[in-house]
Amino acid sequence: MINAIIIDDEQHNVINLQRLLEQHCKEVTVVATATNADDGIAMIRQHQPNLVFLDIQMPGKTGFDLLLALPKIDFEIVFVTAFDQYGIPAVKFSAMDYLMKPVNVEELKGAVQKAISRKSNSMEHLVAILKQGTQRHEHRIALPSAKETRFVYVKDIVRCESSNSYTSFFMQDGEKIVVSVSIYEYAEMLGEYGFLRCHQSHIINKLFVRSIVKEGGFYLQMKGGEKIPVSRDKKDWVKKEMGA
Amino acid sequence: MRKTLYLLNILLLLCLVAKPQINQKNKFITFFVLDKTYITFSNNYMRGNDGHKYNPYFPSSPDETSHYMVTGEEVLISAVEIDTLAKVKSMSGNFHLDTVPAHRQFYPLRSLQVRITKNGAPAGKWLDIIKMPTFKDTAIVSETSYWLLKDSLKVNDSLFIEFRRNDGVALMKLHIRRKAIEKRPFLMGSAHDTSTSRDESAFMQAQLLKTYPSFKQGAAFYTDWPARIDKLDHAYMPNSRVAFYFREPPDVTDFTFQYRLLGGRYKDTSWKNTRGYVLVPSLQAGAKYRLDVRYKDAPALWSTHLFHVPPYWYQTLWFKTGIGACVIIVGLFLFLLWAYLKNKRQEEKRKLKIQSLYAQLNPHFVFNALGSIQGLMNDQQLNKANQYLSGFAQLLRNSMLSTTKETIPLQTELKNLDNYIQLEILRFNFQYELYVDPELQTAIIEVPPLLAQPLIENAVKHGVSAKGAAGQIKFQILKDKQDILFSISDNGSGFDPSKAVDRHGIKLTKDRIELYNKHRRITLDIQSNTTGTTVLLRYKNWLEHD
Repeated sequence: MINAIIIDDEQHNVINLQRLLEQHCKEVTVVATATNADDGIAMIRQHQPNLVFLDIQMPGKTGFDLLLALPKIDFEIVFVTAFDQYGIPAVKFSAMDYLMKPVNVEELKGAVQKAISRKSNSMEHLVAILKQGTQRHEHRIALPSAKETRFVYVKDIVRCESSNSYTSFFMQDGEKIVVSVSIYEYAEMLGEYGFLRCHQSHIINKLFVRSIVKEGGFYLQMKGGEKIPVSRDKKDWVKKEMGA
Repeated sequence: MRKTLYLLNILLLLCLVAKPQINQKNKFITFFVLDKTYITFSNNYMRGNDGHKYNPYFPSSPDETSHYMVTGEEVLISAVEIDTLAKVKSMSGNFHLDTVPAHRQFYPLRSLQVRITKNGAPAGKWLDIIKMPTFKDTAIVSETSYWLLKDSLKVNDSLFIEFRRNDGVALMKLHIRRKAIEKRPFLMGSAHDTSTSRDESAFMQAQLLKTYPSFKQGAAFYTDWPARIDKLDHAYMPNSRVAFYFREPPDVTDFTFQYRLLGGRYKDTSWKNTRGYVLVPSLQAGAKYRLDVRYKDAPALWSTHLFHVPPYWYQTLWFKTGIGACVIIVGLFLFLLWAYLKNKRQEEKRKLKIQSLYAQLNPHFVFNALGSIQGLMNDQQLNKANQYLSGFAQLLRNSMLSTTKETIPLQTELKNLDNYIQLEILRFNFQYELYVDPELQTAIIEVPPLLAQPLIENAVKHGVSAKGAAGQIKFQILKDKQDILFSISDNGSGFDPSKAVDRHGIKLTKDRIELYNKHRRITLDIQSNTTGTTVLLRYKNWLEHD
């Protein structure tokens, strides 16, 4: 039996989610609901839930504020958001699940399953990122593979290479990590950290670029010696971004 | 053995533009320098018949005669041995030198004889030069010059003068004829005034009125000089003034000049009367002048004098060229800047426009889709209602997100379009088939969001909506070499693509393709007949990335 709490500023959404869980996720029992962060903190302290459905954008304190206010997080979280550009990157960075409203039943089932069977410490990393704020060099990104979720420092990533829906991460120490997430997702996430998607299949960390090579085609030579192609229509943009 | 004769030609003409130099004897002297022996010819003006190229004579071929013309009346021929001169003070004129060493000591004066013939009269006797009378020649500061001939020549008179050694060896032969001079005004000189502070009347007082008499006196020296077209182009300083003086005409009683000045601010080509001078009061920098002068009673004969004022540094060609180049460079720079800014503005505009076009899901579709979901709810089909509602939400969300993204992964786009088609199927219950070429890496390839949506909407609305379950839409994403092809076929009754311009979907898609085509080629092709319509959206070379 999984005890769950729903925290959402919209009472209708709370009721809707409660209904859906009753109908489709019978192993989940909603033990409490709250419509603001402060009530939510109180409910969590009182009920010690296994799972919390948490809206990110709420008036007053946000869902993240709620997390940061707790001394210890010993429950799983499923974020629920309407149209929220603000919180999603951090959540994605931690490879945590989130649901979009109106909630799709299949996605809801999947998220619940994933949350209750989660063995990784995604939550700690999300909290770490939230605490670190704009100190980006401290940020770590979650790379979920079949058997484990790795958390690596963004500054240690040399480059990413894609092969359809898989993305390979090449680390500074020579390690290669393969995840089953498309490169498009990482291009968005890493764009803020000085990474360039110089080619449809490649993302590079600007810090590891040795030179821009124009002889024999346009490409970037990395410090490790690899040659990374640059798309024809991205040449100018790459040149500008590299300050060349 | 051919002997060489050097001609040294020192002209007095320099004094034409400077102060007139007045020779006491008013003569112009030609010297024939035969080693130490000088034969001197004095006349007001003497010249080789072939202009300035004097006929040389050759001691080895004494049969040749050198021809000269003179314009002066008085002729004086004398001979002098240069060694007898105490010092050579002033010997100006034309010098004809025989400098061939083999002929040194060939012409001692004591062994020379002369014979002079006037107007072809029978030749006289050969005379020893040293037996001729001597005189003191002030022109060359000679104490003992031998007097060979002093005569007055009328126009067309000629003299034939032969020299030989007293042993009978023939030497040089000269033929001289007097010519009439033309009644062309003769420029004696000019006065140039660079003092810009002085006013014109002061200049007239200081220069013109004082120097003019001396010019008139100088006129005696140039009495019989023929006037020439002045080929020299004299330069004067800017803002200075200049006065030109002309010789009193020889045989003209009416001493009236006429002149016309052209160049600078002077444009009037008519002739103006003047006395013997022309004053140009203010010379303009960069101007080229031409002064024509004639006598009133001989209007056909005029002399021309060219002069100019060098341009100021900023009037020079290189400066103008430099300025021009600078202007062009600055202009080009401004143009490029302008073009760059314009391009940037247009780019901004283009982006804004693309963004504004992105979000446009047809409102008709939006509310009908909501209506369909409402229908499912009221029909108690709650699961189906949930399913379609989240599909609709996803479509709406991506439509809104597309305002910030130019491209999205093909797999996301396919999900969008599938969501859309599922909602339309809910409304119209048609058959639908989707095929995606397995070679396409849908997670990597990116396309503009929802570009094909209005085309599918057309296929539904105009193709299959009326046919219900018999309607069929086939949606294929194909790979054609480096192109991606979206093919949307329906089995509706077709339409005339050329008359379908007002259709919202096609127009919207065409507008967006226009905007995208600034970067890549996207083409839209519609084939329609009574059994159906196929719309082909081709992304040309879309897969070519390296």
